[in-house]
Amino acid sequence: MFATQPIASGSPLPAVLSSVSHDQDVVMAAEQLYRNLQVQPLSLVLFFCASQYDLEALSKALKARFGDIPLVGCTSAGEISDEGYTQGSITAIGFSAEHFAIEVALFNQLADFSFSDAQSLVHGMLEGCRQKQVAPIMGHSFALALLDGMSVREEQLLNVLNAQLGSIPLLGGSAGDDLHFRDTYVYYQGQFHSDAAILILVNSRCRFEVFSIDHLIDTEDKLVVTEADSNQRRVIELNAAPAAEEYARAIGLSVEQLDPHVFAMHPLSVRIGDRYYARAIQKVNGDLSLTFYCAVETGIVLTRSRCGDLAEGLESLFEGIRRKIGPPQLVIGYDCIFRRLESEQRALEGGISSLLSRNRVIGFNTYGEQFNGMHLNQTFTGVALGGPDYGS
Amino acid sequence: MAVKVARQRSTPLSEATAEPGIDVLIDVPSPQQQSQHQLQQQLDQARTENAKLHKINRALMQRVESGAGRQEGAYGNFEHAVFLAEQVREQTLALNSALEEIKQSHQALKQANHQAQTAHSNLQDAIESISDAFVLYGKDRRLLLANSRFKQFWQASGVDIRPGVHYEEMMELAKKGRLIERYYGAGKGLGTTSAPLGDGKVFRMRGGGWLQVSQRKTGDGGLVVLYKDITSLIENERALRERELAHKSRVLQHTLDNLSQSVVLVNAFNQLETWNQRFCELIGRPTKDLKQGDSFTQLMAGTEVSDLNPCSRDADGKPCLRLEQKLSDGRILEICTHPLPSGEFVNTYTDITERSRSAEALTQAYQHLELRVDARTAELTQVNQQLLQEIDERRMIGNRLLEAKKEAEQANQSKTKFLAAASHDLLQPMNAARLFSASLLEHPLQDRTRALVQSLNYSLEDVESLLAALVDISKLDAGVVKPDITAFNADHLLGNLANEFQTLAAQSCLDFHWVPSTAVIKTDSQLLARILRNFLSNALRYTPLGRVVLGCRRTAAGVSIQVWDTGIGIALDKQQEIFEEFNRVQHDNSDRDKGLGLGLAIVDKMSGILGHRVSVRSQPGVGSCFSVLVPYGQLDQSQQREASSHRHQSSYLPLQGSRVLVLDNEQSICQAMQLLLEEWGCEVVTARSYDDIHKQSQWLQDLDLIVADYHLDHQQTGLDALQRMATELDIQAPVLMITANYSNDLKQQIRAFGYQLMNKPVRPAKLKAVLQHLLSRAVEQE
Repeated sequence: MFATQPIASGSPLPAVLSSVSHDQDVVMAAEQLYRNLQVQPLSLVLFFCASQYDLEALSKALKARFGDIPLVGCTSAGEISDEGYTQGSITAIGFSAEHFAIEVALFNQLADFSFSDAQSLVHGMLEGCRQKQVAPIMGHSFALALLDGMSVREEQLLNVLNAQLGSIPLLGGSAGDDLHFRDTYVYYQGQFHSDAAILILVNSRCRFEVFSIDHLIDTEDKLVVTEADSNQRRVIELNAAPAAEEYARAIGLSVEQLDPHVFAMHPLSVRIGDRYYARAIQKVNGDLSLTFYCAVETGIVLTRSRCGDLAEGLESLFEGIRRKIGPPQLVIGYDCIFRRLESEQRALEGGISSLLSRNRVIGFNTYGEQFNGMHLNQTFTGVALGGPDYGS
Repeated sequence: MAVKVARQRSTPLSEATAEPGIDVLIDVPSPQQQSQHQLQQQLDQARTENAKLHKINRALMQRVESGAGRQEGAYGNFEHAVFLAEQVREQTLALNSALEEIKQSHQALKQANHQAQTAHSNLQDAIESISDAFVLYGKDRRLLLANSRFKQFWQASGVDIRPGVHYEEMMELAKKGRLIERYYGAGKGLGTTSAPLGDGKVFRMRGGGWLQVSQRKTGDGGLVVLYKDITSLIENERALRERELAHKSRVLQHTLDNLSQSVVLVNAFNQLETWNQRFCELIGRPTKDLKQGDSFTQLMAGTEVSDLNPCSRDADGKPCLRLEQKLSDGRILEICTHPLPSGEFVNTYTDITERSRSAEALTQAYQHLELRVDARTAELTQVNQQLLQEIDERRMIGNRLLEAKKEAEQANQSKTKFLAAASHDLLQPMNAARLFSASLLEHPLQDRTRALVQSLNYSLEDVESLLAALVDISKLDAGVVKPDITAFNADHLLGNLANEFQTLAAQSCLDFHWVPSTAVIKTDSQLLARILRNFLSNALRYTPLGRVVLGCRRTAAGVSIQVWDTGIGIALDKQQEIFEEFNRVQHDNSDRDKGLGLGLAIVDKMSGILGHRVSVRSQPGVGSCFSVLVPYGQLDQSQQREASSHRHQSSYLPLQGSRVLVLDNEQSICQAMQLLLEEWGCEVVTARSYDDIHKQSQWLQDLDLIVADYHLDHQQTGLDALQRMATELDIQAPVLMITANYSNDLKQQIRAFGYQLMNKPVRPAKLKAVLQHLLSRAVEQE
């Protein structure tokens, strides 16, 4: 555990705190987290937990321990704590009430979600935030989202939310489940929910910088989606051949060899405008169709990409952050699971881990990231929190 | 458009699942191997390919045609989101840069504002600090800026100054308020409005102050006007001027009052302007009676003083500017009137009483003076005549004196001649006689004869001495003896003397000591020799037994040459007398006691001539010491050499066998000499003149010595003869010249030749010594 020191002198208490617990006993874990975070009044605790926990027990323990303190979180495919990449742990961030005014809302029944619902919810949140704001809403607020990664309605939801939030940057991660692809949940008000999304509106007097980076380099290989099931995010045919077969052939492997690691190492991306956006493959289905983590459609052209330098990308990102807001107190990071898989595959995990730890990244490995209304894959997205710059 | 797919042939899955790629890279088998089956396969492949491409084409076309803007599906949302994000990004960028620019320009603006602000406040401060009232009008002549002084000025008149007020309005206000009373400009009146308050103009305020205006156009067509309050300046000037005026008039009055004249200034209206105290006194009115403006004519009418003014005319009708008036109290007044250009006139009244009297006295004195001058002239003429007479007399006396002097000189010369003659004539026979007697002595004689001859010798000696002494005294009295001062070794003389007296002392059974000395003395050796000889002979004479010592003692003042004896001594009271003539101490008559008592008298006179002090110390019964103080001398080089050489010489060679020439015009002398010298063993040749020498020249070779007399017959001198001898006959030898002539010139001459000199009378003993000396010197020099 490390307590981040605020940059402003004279303020003895840090603006954000983080904690991690590897204890499998939920009560002990909750206790540990509480002890480390409860040094000052908190406006929110945000946690990411491994899905292997007994979620029922965990939710009870957390509620018991944290009481009235607002607590939100989600399951993850892996955690990032002050130790770097961790597994099977709970990592948590505490936001001090002095520096942060936070409103939280849950969007469930995603299937039935409508535009007007979103509108009223978001307005309500904004109003609530305004009333307890610690800085003007404009320019001093950002929104975090936690989505159920298995839900296929992420794009629509995001669209709507983004529209409502306007200039307030929206970023978030899709909850994971250690690559089981079954049990992804988000936690809100003492309960784990699925098929839901949590929106956290953060008004802060600290400086912050939102970011989203990837490390993919495109090639000349193109695969045209000749048949796809958009609703299920399933590509049935690539280049008029069974998707899996075509993909395997394109990357020079057999269909049997295809697994998440392979997907991580041989990403596909779609080009919009001048930029390429990764489209991550979730799994191979029995009918040799490929399920993706994100929206697909017939007729889109996928480009085979290759991975660049993970570490270099992260380095330059943090360099840029430091230039803009100074050394950050904490970075909330949504790191795509594929990046972690790739680093494992390339035996870079240790280096990346220490890099993340050095730059105070706390977060989790996602099944997808959201950034400014875009649902992305294979990125490292998040927000870096700097020192107070308003009213201190 | 074909879609290329790069293949990796590295790990082919199986040959069976042949890649349905578009680029069919199939090894083209040889035509033989190509079978129908294979072709069919290829066709199938191509068909499948085609179908695929068709499908791909259809999917793509479907997508394109349906438009990328669809938003319903998830992918559409995604696309839309991306587009939006892209737009947002671009716009954010633009916004940011715009914001940046705005921020910068805002900054610049703020700075500019700040600068303008500062400048403005600086300006305000500046104009506030000006002591003048300052106002700035813009191009439209509306007030832009005014300092507080300007505002105050207007406030006093109840006008509130605001920016924007027009220049014209201000002028109107000024006129209305009648603020300006008067101004001094280019002569324009107050009515003109065009530029009433122009540059440098001064105007007077109603309140009594003075202002000076300066105007200046600004760069942008505005107008700056400065109002300088010069009230205090003007007042100061005024005060100064008044003070000066007051001062001047005071000074004037002082001057007037201090004049010895009475002065009055009357103006063109015949009124009193200025007058001085004396004027009041003159006209007999007290000062306070007179006022400026009083009528002059009236005033003057009341006094006896004439009223002279520029209008006055004299007897001829011409303007009279000067008048002399005698007043009743006897004073004489000179009245002058000086008209001034402005119609005024100044009158001066000068009391010239004194002056007149002085003039009178002067005239009288002048007349007296003339008389006196005449009288004086007569006196002077008389005196002049007397003086002329006296001069004549004096001249005659002078002439007589000259004559007397001539006679005296002649007498002196006669005396000298006489003495010389006398000495020569007297002494010559004496000399001869002595020589004869001396030579007689040389002959073998019987005892009785010898005794007689001896007595004769002594008598002759005595006579000679006496005569010589007499002659000496006379010479000394006549003052013809001139000392011949040279520097020489004392021993040179003393040695000779010692030699002489050694034998004499022995004869009297007295001890004689001579103390040598290295002293060098400067004196006449001959005279000194005489003095010392006298001392020595006296010593011998008056010492019955004991000793006589001759020596020198060096003192600060000179060398004291002393002769000590253990004789009878001289009583103190007699020590002065002994130097008188013909004075002798009582002594028993012995053979040798012959003398006139002139010795010390001669010594006294000689020492006087030389300037050497002679002193005596004596105790009766014990002895005496006679000394003479001689100054130190310094030998010159040649003499020193001679002296040193002399020191070596201590022996006197005998005359035996030496050949001697005797040259003397007196036959008797020659004879006598010859006899004497032959007695001494010399071979003698005599001559009486050069011709004689000439005749005997063949016998005159190898001469050792020459003894010559100076005076020869027929005005010839021994020197001439010797010269001729040397040049014509080539006969040379050491010369001893004998002469009675004591003159210095001769001595110098003889010395110059290197000859030895001896004076007559010649003592034989001395002669011998000198000859021996000459001989040995000659030998040494050879």
